[in-house]
Amino acid sequence: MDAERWQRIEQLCHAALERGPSEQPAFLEEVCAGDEALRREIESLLAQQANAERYLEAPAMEVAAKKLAEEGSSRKRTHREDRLIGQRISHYRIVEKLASGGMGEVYRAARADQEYEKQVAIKLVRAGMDTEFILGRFKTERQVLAGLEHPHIARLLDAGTTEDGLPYYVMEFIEGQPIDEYCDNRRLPTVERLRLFRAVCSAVHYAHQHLVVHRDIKPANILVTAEGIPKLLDFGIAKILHPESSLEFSAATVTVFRLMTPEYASPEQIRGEPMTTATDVYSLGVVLYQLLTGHLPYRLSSRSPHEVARAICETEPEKPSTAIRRTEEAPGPRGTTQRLTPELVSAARDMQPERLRRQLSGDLDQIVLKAIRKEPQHRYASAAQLSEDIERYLQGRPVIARARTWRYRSAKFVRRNKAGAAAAALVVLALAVGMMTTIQQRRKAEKRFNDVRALANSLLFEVHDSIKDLAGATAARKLLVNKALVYLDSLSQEAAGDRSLQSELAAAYEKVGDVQSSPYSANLGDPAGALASFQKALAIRQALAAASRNAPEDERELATDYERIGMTLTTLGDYRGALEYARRDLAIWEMLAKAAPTPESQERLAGAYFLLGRGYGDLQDAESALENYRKSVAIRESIAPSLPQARRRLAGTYGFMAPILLLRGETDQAILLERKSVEMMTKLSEEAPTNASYREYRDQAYYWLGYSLEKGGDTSEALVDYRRALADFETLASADPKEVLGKEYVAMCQRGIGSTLVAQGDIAHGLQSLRKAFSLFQELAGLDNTGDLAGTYAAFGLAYSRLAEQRGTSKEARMANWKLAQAAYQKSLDNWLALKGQGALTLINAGEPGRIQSEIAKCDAALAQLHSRTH
Amino acid sequence: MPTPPAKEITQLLRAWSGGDSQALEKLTPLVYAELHRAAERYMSRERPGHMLQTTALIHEVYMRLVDFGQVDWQDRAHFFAVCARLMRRILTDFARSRRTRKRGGDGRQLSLDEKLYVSPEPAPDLVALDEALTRLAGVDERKSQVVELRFFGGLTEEETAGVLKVSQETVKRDWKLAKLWLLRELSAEQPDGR
Repeated sequence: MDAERWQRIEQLCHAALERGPSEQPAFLEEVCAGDEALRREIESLLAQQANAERYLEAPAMEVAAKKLAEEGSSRKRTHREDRLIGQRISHYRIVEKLASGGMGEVYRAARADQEYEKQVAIKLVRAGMDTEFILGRFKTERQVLAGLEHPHIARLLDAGTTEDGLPYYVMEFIEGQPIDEYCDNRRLPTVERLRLFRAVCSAVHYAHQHLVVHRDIKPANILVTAEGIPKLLDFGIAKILHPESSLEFSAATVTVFRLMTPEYASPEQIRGEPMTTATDVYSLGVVLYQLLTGHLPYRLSSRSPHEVARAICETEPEKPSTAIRRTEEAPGPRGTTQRLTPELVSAARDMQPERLRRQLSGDLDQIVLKAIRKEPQHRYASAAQLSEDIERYLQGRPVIARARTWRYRSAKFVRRNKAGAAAAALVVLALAVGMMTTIQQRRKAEKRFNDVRALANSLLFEVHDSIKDLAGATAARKLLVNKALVYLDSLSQEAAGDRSLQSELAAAYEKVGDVQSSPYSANLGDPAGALASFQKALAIRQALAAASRNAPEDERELATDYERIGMTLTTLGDYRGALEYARRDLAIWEMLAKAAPTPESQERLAGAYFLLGRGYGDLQDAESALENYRKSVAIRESIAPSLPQARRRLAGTYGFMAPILLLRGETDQAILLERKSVEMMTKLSEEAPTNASYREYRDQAYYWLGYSLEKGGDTSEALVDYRRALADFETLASADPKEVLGKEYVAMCQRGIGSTLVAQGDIAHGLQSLRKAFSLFQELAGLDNTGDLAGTYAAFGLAYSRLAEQRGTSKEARMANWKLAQAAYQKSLDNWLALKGQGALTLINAGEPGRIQSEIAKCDAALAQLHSRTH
Repeated sequence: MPTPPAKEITQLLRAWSGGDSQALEKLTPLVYAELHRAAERYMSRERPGHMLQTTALIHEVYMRLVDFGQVDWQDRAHFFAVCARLMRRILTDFARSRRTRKRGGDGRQLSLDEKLYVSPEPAPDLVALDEALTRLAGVDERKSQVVELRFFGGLTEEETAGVLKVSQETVKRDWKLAKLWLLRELSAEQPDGR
């Protein structure tokens, strides 16, 4: 190609790029003027424009370094292993490496002194695995194996430590194939497979009788020798059922996941719950499933660990007789993939597909399904029982599995175990985050960084959604939050220039911030931390929006950050800041809702109005606040039928409007709204009984109804509502001691009860409740509860004033009470003024300083009068 | 191999800047050795999550090798250009040496962490890129240089413009077009268009 032509191509290319993809074809048509070769040349170049943006943006060094990093560690490892071959350990000489397990390596070795022709397997802890508990595990395993002698369990022959101090043990060397391969290679029919399986069951049962749970039963751990004898291997993470040997939470979960294959894991293993012999029964059931059908019990869209874990916990297994109809890709031996079809699968069982289906349906179906029930108590009570039922089948006798018909509906399971699913997600996240920090600390781990990153990110999202409503998980959440932030911050340095990663990162920061402090659900009391997280997210989102020139998706995400920051600033008392963000948020939603008026975008617009209303309210602009609240309510009332979350927020908005109305003297309206709020939340919590948040909102609504009623003078009903709310909040607070919002409301309810009782004239009991409220508020010090304290002091002031006003008490007593009242009011005033000085005095309380001052004046006057009487 | 004295390298660098092409021949192996060592050090660093800055590395080598009081900015620019070329060689050789490595695996049931080896990330194949870049040089040398300086040398647009003595806008356009060309070239090789 000559230089001139190339120049022309170049010029036209650049010109075309400036016009953008949609206009390019027309443009080229025009300028190439019939020169087809030229046009094709340019088009072929332009075809790459989408890819070109990010191509080569990461410098070559980085690319190379990552590759090197991946391989450096495996290179180091192979280097070390080579070193071991030919070495002696005890009487044995290492011949070759057999496998690499979670904890260490397994080598084949032969007796060095050649006295016997014995081959053994030596299992060695991996050097560099220096954590205490790994070594502890190893020792446990040795102990375990030492006690087990069974024809179908690989025997422990010897144990010791190497010169380097690494523990090892010597096992019977089993030369064989994994049980599924063995059966498939020989095309064993179902009956033969069942016989083999029963032998395995007896081994497992034997171990159980020795109080050992295997915990990692899978075909790779069940080798069948050439003589057809199955041997159970690798009690690698076996646990002795002793009460003393219990691991703390994070170690347990890491153990569970690092050393376990999720496909064969039981739901309780995945959820990190205690494991029992039933756990092994489950795993045996999955192995049986595979032996009979060639498939795993669950249809999976992907083999990602998270997908598998979720399927195990939540999806109903397919009947074996149905499963054989599947056609799917599955991992095969030696890292290959196989395409399983009904023909292939039944051929491996020496049968035709239809015959196999008939054979499996009925008793065998039920036996397998019973073994893999989600609830441990519904499975076979022991491996022996499973084996016996198989025998019954083989003998043509009725099987236990069919004795009772369980209407086993996955929907029911999911609803009942929503908490379980949430905890599952929690565990998986702990694992992922734990793995990530482990990986980052130990470069020796040969993980593909990006894949783990993708995993961890996906988990972060799904965990948030499932733990949002889970009561009692606060401490766990705090731990996770800290770990997650460490991880995300380190990731952010790598993210520059990578749009999708940046987006994920921003979302992750948002989720973490949500967990750190959300104004609606039980929070951890860390709004400052949340603000920091949200601002990190905001910075990223702003960059993305700028880069995409304000594409709607980016604007939408940006709006959510504005909302979050606004709400957090409110919690922190920065009302002006919050208002500013609320305005920005509204601006975006007005535009988006206009462009695409769906119920969802309308809901968001309503939310934006609400936020703005709240912002005004906090700045004491009652008029503007109400105006925006009304706009919000109007929208939500119209979309409420089609959008459930609108209803909850509607209830919340009523709750914000009411106090303002109270201030303006529109008490009846206020009470009406509060009632609506209570009604709505009661309905919602009835519809979704497991939703802890709804119950909380409902109780909050009861509190605020009580509050409105109290202000309106209806003390008896107020008391009822306060007490109702108190009872529920006390339960909530005691369930999770670290939980803050519940405690606050307990204090508020006590205060409300106290002041209502005082108003009714029962001052003694009123004071009691007020004291409780007071000490609770003091406990909650460190939060923004100055206003609460001020209010409580004021209530004390009132109580003592009333006492002082009571006729029939001595002058001394009355003076004492006036003094107490005065002191209390003074403290109240101090607090209110402090808030005012910070600019944090809310609309509702704006009149308090003045009011308190006049109360103090009253006390002063009363004291002066009493004092003068003496003289 | 001990680090050569800064004086010698500085002199060679200035000589080369002044037009002495033989000086470049002598200069190259000296710089190469140092660069290679530095690159190895960087790449085996035990600090994950820190982006490796090629220019930082080249700066480091530069400071070590050159008496920069004696050298003006043009020489510096030349030095960087040399380094970029050398980095290209180092990294491509490195990538080539790794091509033969096969993935192992005994097909046993992999535990969870091993199962995370899903499909490899689509990182640019340095060897193929190197070859394509050579071909690009045949069509338009300056564009090839831009890629070399920016991608292998890690230089910014501005620095690249300084080395090549063109405007920044030219560098921008060259970079854009070079990428399109390379992508087209490389996708033609692989049937699945990667």
